[in-house]
Amino acid sequence: MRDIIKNALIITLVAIIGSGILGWVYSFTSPEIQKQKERSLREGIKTIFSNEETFKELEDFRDTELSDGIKVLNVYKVKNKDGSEGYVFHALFPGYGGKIESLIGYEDDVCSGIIILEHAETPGLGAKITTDEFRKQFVNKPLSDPFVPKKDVVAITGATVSSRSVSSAIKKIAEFYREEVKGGK
Amino acid sequence: MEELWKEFKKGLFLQNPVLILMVGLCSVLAVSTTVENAIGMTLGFSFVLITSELIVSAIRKLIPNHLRIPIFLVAIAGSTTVVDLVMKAYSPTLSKSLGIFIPLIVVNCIVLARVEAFAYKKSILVTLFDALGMSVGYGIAIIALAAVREILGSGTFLGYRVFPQGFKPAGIILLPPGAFIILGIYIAVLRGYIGRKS
Repeated sequence: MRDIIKNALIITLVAIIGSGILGWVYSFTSPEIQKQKERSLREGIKTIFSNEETFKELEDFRDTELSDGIKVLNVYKVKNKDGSEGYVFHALFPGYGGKIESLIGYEDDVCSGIIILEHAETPGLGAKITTDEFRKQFVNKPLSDPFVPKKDVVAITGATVSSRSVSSAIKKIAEFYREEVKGGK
Repeated sequence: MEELWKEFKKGLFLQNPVLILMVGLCSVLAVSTTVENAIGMTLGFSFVLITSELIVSAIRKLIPNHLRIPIFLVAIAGSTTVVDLVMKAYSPTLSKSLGIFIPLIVVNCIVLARVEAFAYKKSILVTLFDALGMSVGYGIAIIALAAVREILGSGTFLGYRVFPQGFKPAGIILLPPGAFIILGIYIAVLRGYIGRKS
């Protein structure tokens, strides 16, 4: 009996010291981590809308599930310096090797561009979805296009599935953009 | 001094954690696609190994024998979380490309093995040299592996192009089978060398 209490006390003490140290480290790293997140979001939006002046989140659309496993995490409304407005969708969609996390921009009736934030596609093949060569074909692409690889989208050699999931995600989110986000507000 | 040097040196080749002891291979295969990732992983791993070995060695006389594993785990998991947080805060690109493999240092068997087999029984100074030697040995193995994989698999070294534009990299080298092939060659060469020497 006395042993159990002694052991419990020792473990508790170790746990308290451990969590105390972690809490201290967390207290000065967490504002930095938050800043880094905001910075990468801002940079991403800047890459899609180089004219960006301000952006704000439309909280009504946070965490919206679309069909085919596509999930819209956040929607940002972007105001450009020339007065025009665009929308950036922070979305998750299934790829070949797992979920692909990306920012997709739309303006009027075109796709303004896409950035891949995180992915688990095959290195050397599907991972090429992050390259400029692949991504630039979506810049200023009319949303009336079919977005089908080997038709109007140049697919990555040996990575048809990855190419298809990116293209169809842009198309699917475009529908959501046209019907809900832009039409609704 | 001689004894310390011996503890340091054994980690480099004779008891190299990756090439001879062959523990913690999962993360070695996964992150050794580029030299930059390999260096980042080495730094993270070394920090965890050195701090948890030192902590355990420092308090080894206070740890009741049957409670040692949970206490080791607090030390290991704690230092891993510190690495994870610091990397996220100050080096987000590295943290992104290493991804899940930083938190997974917790379950890297080599850390627990060193703490249990070495740090728990030896004085701080000897432990420090053991941890340093193991870290450098880990670094040698993973960086050598990553160098070959990056050069042959992507045609670059530390992000700089080494082959002319027309070079077509061998994609398989970047996949796990490629890592196994190269690792196998290293192990064979090292074991052959050690075998001949003794």
